[in-house]
Amino acid sequence: MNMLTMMEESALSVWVSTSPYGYYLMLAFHALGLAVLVGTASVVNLRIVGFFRDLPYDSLKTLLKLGLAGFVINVLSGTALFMSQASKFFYMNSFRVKISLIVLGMTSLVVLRRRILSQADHWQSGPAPAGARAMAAGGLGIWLGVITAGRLMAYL
Amino acid sequence: MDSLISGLQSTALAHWMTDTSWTWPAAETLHFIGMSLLFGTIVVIDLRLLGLLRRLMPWRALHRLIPWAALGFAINLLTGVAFFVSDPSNYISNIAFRFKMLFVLLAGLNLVLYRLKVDKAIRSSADDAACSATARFVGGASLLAWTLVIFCGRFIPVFGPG
Repeated sequence: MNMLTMMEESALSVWVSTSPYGYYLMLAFHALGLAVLVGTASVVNLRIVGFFRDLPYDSLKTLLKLGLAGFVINVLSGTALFMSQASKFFYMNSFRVKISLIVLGMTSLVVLRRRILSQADHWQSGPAPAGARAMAAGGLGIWLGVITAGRLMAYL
Repeated sequence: MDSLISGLQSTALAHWMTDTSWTWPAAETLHFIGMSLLFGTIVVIDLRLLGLLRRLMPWRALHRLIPWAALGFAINLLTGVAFFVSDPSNYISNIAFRFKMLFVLLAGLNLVLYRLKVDKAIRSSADDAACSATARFVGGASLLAWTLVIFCGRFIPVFGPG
């Protein structure tokens, strides 16, 4: 896997791993992006599950945009972190589980967003349909799994 | 001071944190979950205080978010205490930890300002009412303080164990 080594030798990777604060700066952005993405995703998912019903479904579209900003921060900081130790992270099960769960979590948010855009006018007065609520509940669990797998990467 | 530090380190909690292999990573995971819950709800509240999302976010909805922010804070206070008692002397002397605590304190004072000057006014105002200058200040200060808490927290390992 020469590509992994090439990543580690890129200018970005060298900066991240050799500058005194490069790695920790990327970790700090990764934590901030995590808080924005998982935080807003949790608010959206909890709302669809049935908590704080005074929050209009319309507002969730705006929150999802904020979540997307968190996702972008973490794709960028995560890419920098990955490239700095590509040949280590690539073979870690915790990393692979984390990425798979992120794909699932983001997919569920995209599907929920579509349902909100097309149907939420009909839900306005009552709870969301069972399918949407189940997906939102699953989403809450998926993001907990992402955080757990990410933390385990520092230990396994 | 030394006796306080050794007293903390000899607590059952400190022993459990350092002698069991899974407690530290488990507490860290919970700390990240609490962080997401606290920050996610706080950001929404702060943006509304800043005057954004006015049409979309009724005040009464935001009041429903506050217990979830409090839950996130409680999770992080408990796990944070667990980290601290396991290694008090290193945390006390850690500059990133000191700044983190300073920003938590400032966020707390900001919350007092919210309770005294903003909360009552927004409870009696229309759902899409504009925000006072104080409300905007509180929203901006909260956003900045909690962002700095996260940044300083992530820099704790640079200056020592933790």
